[in-house]
Amino acid sequence: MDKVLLRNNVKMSGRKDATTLMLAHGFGCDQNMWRFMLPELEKHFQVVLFDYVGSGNSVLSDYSIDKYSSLEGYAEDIVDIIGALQLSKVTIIGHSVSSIIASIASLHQPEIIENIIMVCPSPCFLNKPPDYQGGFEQSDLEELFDIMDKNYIGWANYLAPLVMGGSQSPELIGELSGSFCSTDPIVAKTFAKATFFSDYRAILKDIKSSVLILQSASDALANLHVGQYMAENIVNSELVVINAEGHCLHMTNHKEILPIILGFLEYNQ
Amino acid sequence: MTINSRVDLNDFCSGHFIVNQNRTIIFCNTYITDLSGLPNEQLLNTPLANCFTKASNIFIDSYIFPLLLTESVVQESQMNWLGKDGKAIPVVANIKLGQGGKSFWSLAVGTNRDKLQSELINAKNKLEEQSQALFLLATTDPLTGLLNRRELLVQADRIAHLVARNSSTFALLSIDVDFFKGINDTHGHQAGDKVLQNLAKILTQERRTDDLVARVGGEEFVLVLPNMDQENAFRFAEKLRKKIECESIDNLNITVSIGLVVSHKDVQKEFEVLLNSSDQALYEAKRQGRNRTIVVPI
Repeated sequence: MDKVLLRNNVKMSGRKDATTLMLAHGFGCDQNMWRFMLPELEKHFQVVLFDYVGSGNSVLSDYSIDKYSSLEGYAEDIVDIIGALQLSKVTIIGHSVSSIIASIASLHQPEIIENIIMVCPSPCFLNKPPDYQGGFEQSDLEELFDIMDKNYIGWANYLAPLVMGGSQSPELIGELSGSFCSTDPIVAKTFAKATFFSDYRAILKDIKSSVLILQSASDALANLHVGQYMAENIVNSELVVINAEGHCLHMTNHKEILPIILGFLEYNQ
Repeated sequence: MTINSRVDLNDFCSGHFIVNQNRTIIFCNTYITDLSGLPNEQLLNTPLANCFTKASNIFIDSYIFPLLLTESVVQESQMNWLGKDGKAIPVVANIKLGQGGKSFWSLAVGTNRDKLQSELINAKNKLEEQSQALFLLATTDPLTGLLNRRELLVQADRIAHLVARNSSTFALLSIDVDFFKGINDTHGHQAGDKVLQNLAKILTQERRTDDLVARVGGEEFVLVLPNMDQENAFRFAEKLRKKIECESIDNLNITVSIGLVVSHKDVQKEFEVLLNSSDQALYEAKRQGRNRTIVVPI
């Protein structure tokens, strides 16, 4: 098996003769986030699932703090997977920060990444007065790292090897920690810093792909202004506000967003 | 009281509330209203997001809800409740997913637990710092920052095996400052220390990335140069010796004597045995009048 496919725990399913759809998970969890939408998507598309290095069942030994301290490192994962699968056309659905990661990847491969569907995206979580309200101050994010430190979720994989002895196989350790949101605390914090301290507003105008923005009417992480800001700054974009709560439309409102996604892709084929 | 008796949730010393699919609070007991400092009627129909700090909301959206939707239950989550006047109150929550997207929250204030965890995290960070400092102490020479003798033996053994596996050779240089005792006696120990530090600097500058540089004794240094044959090693040693001779270190003209040995492609010897022979060559260099390189014949 190709090294990249193993490294990023790439899984393919769905129709081999159909358009390729790559699902990119956001900060926090892994490809299992897509499980609610997956059965329907498999009926229409060839679906590519993966975990960023450091998340889910990726190969942790390929992790480097340097590379994954900025979103460019994660975008490299996407570019590598597209290369390993030799995809010539692809649509990426990215949740939250993965919308931006997919956008960065699209700047490297504008002719391959045709469409990006962004679920609850934000190009910058920090407030940048006077013109931009990302929603968060530096101190909020410092509190977040403290909360991450104090929750067992982030510790599960850190403790597992200690409990089981360092020589155990990575698969077994992954199984013990159980939850799909478990990540090594250093990995999780590095991803959090790359996500919440980044400011990619400047690249929006350079995105050549067709973009669908799915925004939640009430989202503590990305307020309505953020969605509007993105739609105004991405040339070829369409904004749809879903009357829903929260930041995980693909998990809570998948039945509503599916027809919108299908319609958008039909129009943009 | 039987198990079926009606009980009042307000009597409990823990908070209970229900959140509907729209993430709005539709039921809560008085523990929760007390925690918020809001009257019950005001708290009902309040969005869940308004009850927690912003950081907690990121955590709730990135971890709690995805986990809840997948595993139906989340236990012992630590977050910060937004109390009166915007004060953050640490709470520990167990959450269960119910019918129709409702979630059932049970929580209690965890100020002491939070303090304990902060202390644990600080202790862990301090331990990591200390273990790093101890590692440095155990592996390097404090005066020059070069590897110490013990770490040299560990790392050099690894290089010796690697080089042998690739059917290559490595060179070993024992370098000693000439008349160092005289420098100490004439100019004082501080001047002597400075000479050693500056010499360490020169050796570090001259080496390639994979070469090892160590201070193994008072004024004795060792260089290990992987993938180098005798001819190149001798050229390198002489270049180094001349460079030190030409440069004045703190207005002192110092010279060094060098013993050089190159490992054998076919006969693998313990690193310490080779170190012993390069030391013998170094003594020979001293005996022949210092400021020279003597090679151990292969």
